[in-house]
Amino acid sequence: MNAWKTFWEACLIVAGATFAGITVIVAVRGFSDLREMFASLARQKNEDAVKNKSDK
Amino acid sequence: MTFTTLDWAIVAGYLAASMAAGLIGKRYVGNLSHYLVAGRELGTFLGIATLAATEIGTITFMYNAELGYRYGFASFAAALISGVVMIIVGRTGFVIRRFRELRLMTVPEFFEVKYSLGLRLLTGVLVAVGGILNMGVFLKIEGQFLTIVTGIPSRYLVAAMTAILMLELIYTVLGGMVSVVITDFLQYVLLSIATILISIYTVYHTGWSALVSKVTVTMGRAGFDPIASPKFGVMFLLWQILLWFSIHTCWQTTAMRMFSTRSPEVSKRVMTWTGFIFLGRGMLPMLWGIAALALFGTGALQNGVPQPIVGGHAIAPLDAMPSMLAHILSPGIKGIVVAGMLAATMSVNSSYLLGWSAIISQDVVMPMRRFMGRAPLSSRAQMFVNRIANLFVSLFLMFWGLYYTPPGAVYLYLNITGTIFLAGAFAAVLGGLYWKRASTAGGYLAMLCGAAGAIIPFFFLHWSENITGFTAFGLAAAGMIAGSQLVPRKNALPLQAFAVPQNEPKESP
Repeated sequence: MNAWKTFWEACLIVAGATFAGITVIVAVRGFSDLREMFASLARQKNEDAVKNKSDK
Repeated sequence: MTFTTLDWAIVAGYLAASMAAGLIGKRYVGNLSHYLVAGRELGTFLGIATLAATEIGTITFMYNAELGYRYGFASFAAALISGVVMIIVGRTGFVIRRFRELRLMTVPEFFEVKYSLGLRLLTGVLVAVGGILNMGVFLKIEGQFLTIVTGIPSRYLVAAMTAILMLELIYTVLGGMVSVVITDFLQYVLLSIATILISIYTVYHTGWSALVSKVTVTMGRAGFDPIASPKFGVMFLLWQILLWFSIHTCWQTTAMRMFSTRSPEVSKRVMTWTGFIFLGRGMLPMLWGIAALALFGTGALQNGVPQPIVGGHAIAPLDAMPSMLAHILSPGIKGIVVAGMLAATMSVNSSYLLGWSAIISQDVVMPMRRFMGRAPLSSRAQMFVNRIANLFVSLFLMFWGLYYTPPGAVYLYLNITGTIFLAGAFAAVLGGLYWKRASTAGGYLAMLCGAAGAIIPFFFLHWSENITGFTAFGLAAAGMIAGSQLVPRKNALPLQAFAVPQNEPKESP
């Protein structure tokens, strides 16, 4: 039972630490991903609009 | 009332910010690809945020805390399996890499690419029914959490949950995946802060040694050793491994994130890092459940576990964790935690609404039109059908979700309803991707045997969840093999013929 207890303690520490660490990284770097996504979607939307116009 | 004005102000601020962020998404939606897979423009970090937010809801915290309360530290095994399997899928690219290369928008779409239009339709129906039934219990349980923690009288529960569902529906219908991704990002940050705060408060308030000794006294070895636990055991662990491989590869809302990434390599990275988050997604709320056991577990034994007693009244183990939060969190912190839980609720519900409505429109309505010989719909018309499907799913959830109570542990109920289609879909996907002899007949048999293997043993023969789950996966695999051997595939194009190379052109509407 003690081995299991130690094992779950170690797992919990790893889980808590990685959860907190990844949250910080994603919160900071996710913003630039979001900006890139907006730019790319706006570009795609404009290209679609131009294509639709020329098709007409 | 346990909620102060400060707490309400924090929650109102969050709801306003979330709604505003969601509405921004509508500006960027020009065609169906934008609406369903965000133009396949998700980078690694945004992908992690949206995948984690999609699969972490108040419902997740509730059922994991319930597992912790009922089975102690042994329940950590389920969390460990979910995280480790996800990391393996991410590192190897098992299924997800090939799915991404095929540029799919839904999982059943693969069944047409590999098998037939009819099998896509059958899979679409099974996935939609199983998925919506699975989601059907979310609202009530999330409402229970909010009612207990905020102290709102339960008669307002239906109105409060309907209002939240309406808010999610507005931005999901208007902006599709783009809105969902933006709000997921905001919601992920907030729900993670809430998760960390609760975990710190819980251990600080209860004390680590009190948690360990309560589990030791109440459950003995079974509270730590998942193999010795009467509810778990080797069979449970094996079923969980199979189930989590199928969820991380074939679950529509997870798969949609993989389809939305910039490239197969990005999808692998997203899956790997989210695997680490999944360890905490399970273990941290399980820890809260154990803390609730230590604080309130003083009632008569029920299935070997003391009933929680709060204010002199016995309550359900599912309600023990929110009752604990209502007791231990201070004003201000409680507002942040409830805003975080609302964030979790909204991110899951909006993603699930989009996921299941996508299945209804793309894999049920569109194939039926083709069967009837109707012309294909334009991208704009498909988005309209999707929005109508979204409304339909929401209405169903309001009526079914608020009144239906699942029997037994919620985690196991969700696992079984998911298995109805996951067992067959997983067997058919594996066969389709990795076995040259997989045939359409094998696909049909896998889907039908998998569904029958989950429904008949659980609902009619009343077998345990472990045995039912194992039976469903076994029957689905047997169906795939037997069907493919008996009715072999003829003149099939290799899947590589459908794959789109890395410098792929953008989808046209």
